[in-house]
Amino acid sequence: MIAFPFVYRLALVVVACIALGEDSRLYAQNPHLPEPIRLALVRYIDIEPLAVTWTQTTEATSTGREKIVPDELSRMLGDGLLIQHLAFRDGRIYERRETQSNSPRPPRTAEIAFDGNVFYTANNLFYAGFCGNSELNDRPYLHKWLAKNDQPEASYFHDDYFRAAGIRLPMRVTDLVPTWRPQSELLALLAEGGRVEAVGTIQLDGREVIHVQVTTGKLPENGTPPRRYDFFLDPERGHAVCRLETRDEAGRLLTRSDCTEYEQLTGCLLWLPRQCQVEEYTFASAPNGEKTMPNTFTAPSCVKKIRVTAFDVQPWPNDRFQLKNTTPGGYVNDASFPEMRDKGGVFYQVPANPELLDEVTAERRAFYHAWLSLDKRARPLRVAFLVLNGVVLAAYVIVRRRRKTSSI
Amino acid sequence: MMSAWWSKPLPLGLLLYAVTSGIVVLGVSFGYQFVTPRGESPGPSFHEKFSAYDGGWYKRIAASGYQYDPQQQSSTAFFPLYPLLGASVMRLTNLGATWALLIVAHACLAAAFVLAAIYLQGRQSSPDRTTISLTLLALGLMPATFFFRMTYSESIFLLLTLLFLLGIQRNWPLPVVALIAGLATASRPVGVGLLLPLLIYALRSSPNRRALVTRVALSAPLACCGLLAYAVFLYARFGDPMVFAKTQEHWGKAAPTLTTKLFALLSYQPIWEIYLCQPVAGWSVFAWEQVNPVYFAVSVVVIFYGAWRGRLNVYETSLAAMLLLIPYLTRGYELNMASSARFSAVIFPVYLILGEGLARLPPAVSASVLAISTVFLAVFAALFASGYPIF
Repeated sequence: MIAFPFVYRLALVVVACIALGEDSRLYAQNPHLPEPIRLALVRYIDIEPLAVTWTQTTEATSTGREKIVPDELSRMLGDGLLIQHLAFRDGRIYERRETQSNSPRPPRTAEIAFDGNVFYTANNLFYAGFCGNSELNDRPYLHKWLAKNDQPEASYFHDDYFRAAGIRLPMRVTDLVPTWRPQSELLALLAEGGRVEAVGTIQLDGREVIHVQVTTGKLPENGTPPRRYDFFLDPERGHAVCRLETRDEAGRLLTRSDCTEYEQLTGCLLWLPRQCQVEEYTFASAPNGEKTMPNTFTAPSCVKKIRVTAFDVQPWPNDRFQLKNTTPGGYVNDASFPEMRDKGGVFYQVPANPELLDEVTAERRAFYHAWLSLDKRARPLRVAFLVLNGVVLAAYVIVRRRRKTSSI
Repeated sequence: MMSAWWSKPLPLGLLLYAVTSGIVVLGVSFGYQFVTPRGESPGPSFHEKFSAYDGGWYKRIAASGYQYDPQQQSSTAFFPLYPLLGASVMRLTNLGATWALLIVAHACLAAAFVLAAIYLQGRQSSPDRTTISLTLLALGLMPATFFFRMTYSESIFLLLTLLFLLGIQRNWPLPVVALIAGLATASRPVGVGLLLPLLIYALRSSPNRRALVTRVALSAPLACCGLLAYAVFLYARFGDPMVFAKTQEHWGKAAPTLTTKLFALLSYQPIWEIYLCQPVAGWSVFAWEQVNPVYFAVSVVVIFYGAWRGRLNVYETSLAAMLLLIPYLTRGYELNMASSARFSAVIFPVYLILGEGLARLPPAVSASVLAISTVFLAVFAALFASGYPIF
């Protein structure tokens, strides 16, 4: 009976000691980002204007082939070799993705641009994009719409290279619309409330690099779960990211990016990698999510290989961030007119005679306006037909009753 | 009485199939050569002109199977019987998907013409050769029937509905007729429209209520076997048996509230609303978006007239009513009646009334009507082949 309070008190002391110890360990490993690193990373804001061209392939590993259903795997791997261009300047951004003819599908080109006000998407093939009907007399397609009419969370650009290199570009509409600049992923995470958990020096592939560990909490605005980021920065190359790992809350590895063959950009203290390899250890759930499969694997499910073929630091003119479709017969969905309320605009085909273009668009805009006012103009007719239905029904009932009465 | 050798169902059906299909082929050829829009050069292959729009989906299914993506239009919206037969022909002959699907479509259409001739002969105690020929000509020359010659599932569906009606006409056993209905449910979503006339057939051919219940219970799985098999396949493949319906949301405008849709349908808004806008852009008898509601409305009037005047029997009337109502009620509002001409084109009872009507007209007048229809048939085939939005 006496021993129990003693044990109880002892336990309390032990717990308190553990708690204090834990707290002091966290405190010791929770330093701020050293100033030289921060200053080096801040320079990423000067990365523009920049245009990067790279090739990209995604290959499935044996784990991926084993664990991921073929349809999902095929979607993940895409069309084989992809040539991608991404350029940005003063809040404008342009992307072009080309598939190669050795893929089972016809070669396709997809362009996306944002000029600060209007979004543009263009495809070399209209039908092939959604039904594989390549042999049809297919035509280029352009869709443009006002950014203010888009969903804030919508995202169209593919920044695989920049993400692998630890550079944050705005991808969501809500991030693109205000004035934006590229920035270091590490600093962006800290600005969003991320916490530096550890900073140290380690050996990576025989070189001394700086390891910075950052954790982020759950972001309520987009439901992003807590993550752990391990940045490995090369001090000899302006603290460029040479490895970046992301882990989930349980510490399971999700992605690992390795960057090599750095090149210093002309006129600034920034190094960008020419080669990146991204290992994916996770897999977004399939549409039939209830048919569960492990979402995180111990080995990579696929490997993305990125090879930069060109850096261009010359500023692009503004009109390169605006897409046009001048091919006769090409399809255009134009929702860039001020009266448009959503992404769906006026749909037309480009006339062979360019002088007729204004006439065609004016005609389709008039049609659009007619549709907008349709509900108001349709109301009397709708009421008239509903009344007519009632009259016909009543007449039918009366005639039937009379027939019954007369037959009796 | 039908005496000449060519007036027998087989040669007559095949002859009229060949003649009317030849007009469509000529139309496509004309479109391929001369109607290519907006100064474009024609594409490389002539036969691919037969597989625009939904035809492309069937081609893809036949060549590489089904795919489903909840975020975009998916091939699961297209029912499997037609592409399955196309894929079989591909395997047997080593032909490409378009050729294989065209072979299936045209074989079904030729068979449908023959069955239609047989059915027409059985409809009357003393078959009238002129009426039969004019009905078959109407079946082959009405403008929207050019879809029967494309890589579309309309011709196989037409064949199955004719076989179904023939089965009822000849008092085939209920399970056999139910199996035909089941095949129809595997060919197009409106295949379930055959269930109402099937139920009436069961009702009329059953001696008492008990026998009716037993026969319906036994035949029901057969009558839905196509749809059920497709749903099972979709469940096994994509984990959801309803993805054929779910992917429909990517076609047409977003579904409104049920009340809005109901009021719009009851006031026939999908049929007339296009004409409130169109004058701004200009009227055209060749604008398919304007043709669709007219075609549908004319089909309704024809069926209503046929039923009212007793020219259609209860099976033909109920079949036609279902084939008109199902697309109108389910997708008419969302699609703005798009494709309703094509959907109406497979309603065989419409041609029964048209054939009778043409037979009553003076020969010169009926010939003129058919000639005008032929012109439209060829023109729409040409426009379709050259990439104009005809669907």
